Amino acid sequence: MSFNAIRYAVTETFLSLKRNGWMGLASVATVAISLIILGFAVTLVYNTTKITGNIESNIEISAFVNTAATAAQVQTLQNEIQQLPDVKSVSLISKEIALQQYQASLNNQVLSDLGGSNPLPDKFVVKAQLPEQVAGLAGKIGSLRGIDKVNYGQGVVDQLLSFTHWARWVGISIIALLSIASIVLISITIRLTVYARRREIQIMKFVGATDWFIRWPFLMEGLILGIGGAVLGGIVVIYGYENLVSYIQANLSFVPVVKDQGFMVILAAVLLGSGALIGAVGSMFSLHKFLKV
Amino acid sequence: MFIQLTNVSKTYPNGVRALIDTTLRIDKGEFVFLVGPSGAGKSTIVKLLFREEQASRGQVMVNGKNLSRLRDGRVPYFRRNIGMIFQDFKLLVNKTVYENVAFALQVVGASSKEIKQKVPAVLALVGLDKKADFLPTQLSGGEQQRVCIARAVVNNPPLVLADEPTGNLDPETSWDIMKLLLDINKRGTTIVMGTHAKDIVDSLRKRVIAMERGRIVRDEEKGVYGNEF
Ligand SMILES: Nc1ncnc2c1ncn2[C@@H]1O[C@H](COP(=O)(O)OP(=O)(O)O)[C@@H](O)[C@H]1O
Ligand SMILES: [Mg+2]
Repeated sequence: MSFNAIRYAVTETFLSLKRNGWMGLASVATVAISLIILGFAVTLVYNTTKITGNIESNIEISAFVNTAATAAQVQTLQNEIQQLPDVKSVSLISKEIALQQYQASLNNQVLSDLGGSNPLPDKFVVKAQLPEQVAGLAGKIGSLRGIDKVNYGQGVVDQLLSFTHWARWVGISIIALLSIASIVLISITIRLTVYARRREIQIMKFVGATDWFIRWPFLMEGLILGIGGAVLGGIVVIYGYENLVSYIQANLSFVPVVKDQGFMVILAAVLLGSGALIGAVGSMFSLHKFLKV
Repeated sequence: MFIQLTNVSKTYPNGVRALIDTTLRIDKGEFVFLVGPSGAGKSTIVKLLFREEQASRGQVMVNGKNLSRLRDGRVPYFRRNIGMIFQDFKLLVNKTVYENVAFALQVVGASSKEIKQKVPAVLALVGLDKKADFLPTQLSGGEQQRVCIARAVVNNPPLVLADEPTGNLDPETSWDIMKLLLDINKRGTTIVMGTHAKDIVDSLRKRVIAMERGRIVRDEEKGVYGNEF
């Protein structure tokens, strides 16, 4: 492109932005709204993923040792469990500690009633590497000699797993639909801009302007509108999210929320990129039709 | 040979046969009237020469280019050698006279120096140098057509195509426009003009190609509009 062509494209872009002021504002607002929804959907999905991930990774297997086992046998069992595949951690809660915990929860009444004997078994608390491995691992631990009973909240794990998968897919589908919707909206808005300038395009074709010469100002206009909307939407999403996080942490502290600078930077970049892409794709769609003169 | 149509037919997608097996030759520097009733195919010939439409059959040669072999990407460069004049002027209403003409140079990548030289010169040629800063809405129809002509010839093209350039003008203004086109033709520019203006055709005695229902029915030097329609 020659210097004059570049200057022409830049001048035309800004003239057109100025001339189509309200239409440009409408485009920017549409991009902004779409990206705000997109941004909050992304943060919501990110949060639920993180939270369910936390819950998932906290699923524990309780393995109760036969009360007849000796301390040495308990130690051997712990080593055996440690060596099973998929095990993340094993910790022993001895019957003495279990009793103390139990006692504490019942205000020290029980100890005297039991007359000094301890009916509680030793217990291993085992964590799996991945939630999907919990059921299989529990089975293996249960079949070890010396283990009486294994408990891992069987139904709960499966329910939680199916719920988190379901929640992720719903979230991803919502984002996909919204992305398509905003591309369609932008392309319609820019089509209006192109339509308003169809005379100019026609005359340019008649006097021998190349297609790319005609496209550039529209492409730049689309990019500027898209990026403008993304900046606006990004500010709302990031500022709004930070405030929401502060509010939740202050007033609803039992709800875990993610506060993560790295995530915010990535989110901002994604929103800007989406805005630019939406603007470019939208204007190219719209120009395609009008270039046939 | 400057323009050559050889056995050209044009059938539009809706099935209308606008041009049927037409052969026609126009030499450099000629002034040619295309006449005939509405729907005869005059505009279709103009559009074929400008490569706005493509022939369904036959060969269209313009300025040494076979238009059916011309790639889409080359069409803009081909059109830079043709000036188009329209019945409805096709001016940009939000640009001044000067800007409308400069626009045609800008979009083909002319330098600002070139623009500053050529635009005032061509505006003087069409007699609008005093109205360079007017908007089209502030001009009469004849003046708007002069802007259109200035824009068409500012690049000094070897061929000017005019489809009913006086169709929207009163007789007196039409004559002013015709004088301007004759001047341009005298400078060596080939002009092909579709028209319904019987008076003008009859008194100028240029080459007349008469068309009817997609065929050339008469082609004569120093011709007249004719009575067949
Ligand atoms: N784009 C088009 N699509 C379909 N039919 C067309 C188109 N342009 C012209 N025609 C038809 O082709 C015939 C010739 O039209 P045209 O060349 O415009 O005639 P003229 O300029 O002599 O009045 C007419 O019947 C017209 O309706
Ligand atoms: Mg016509």
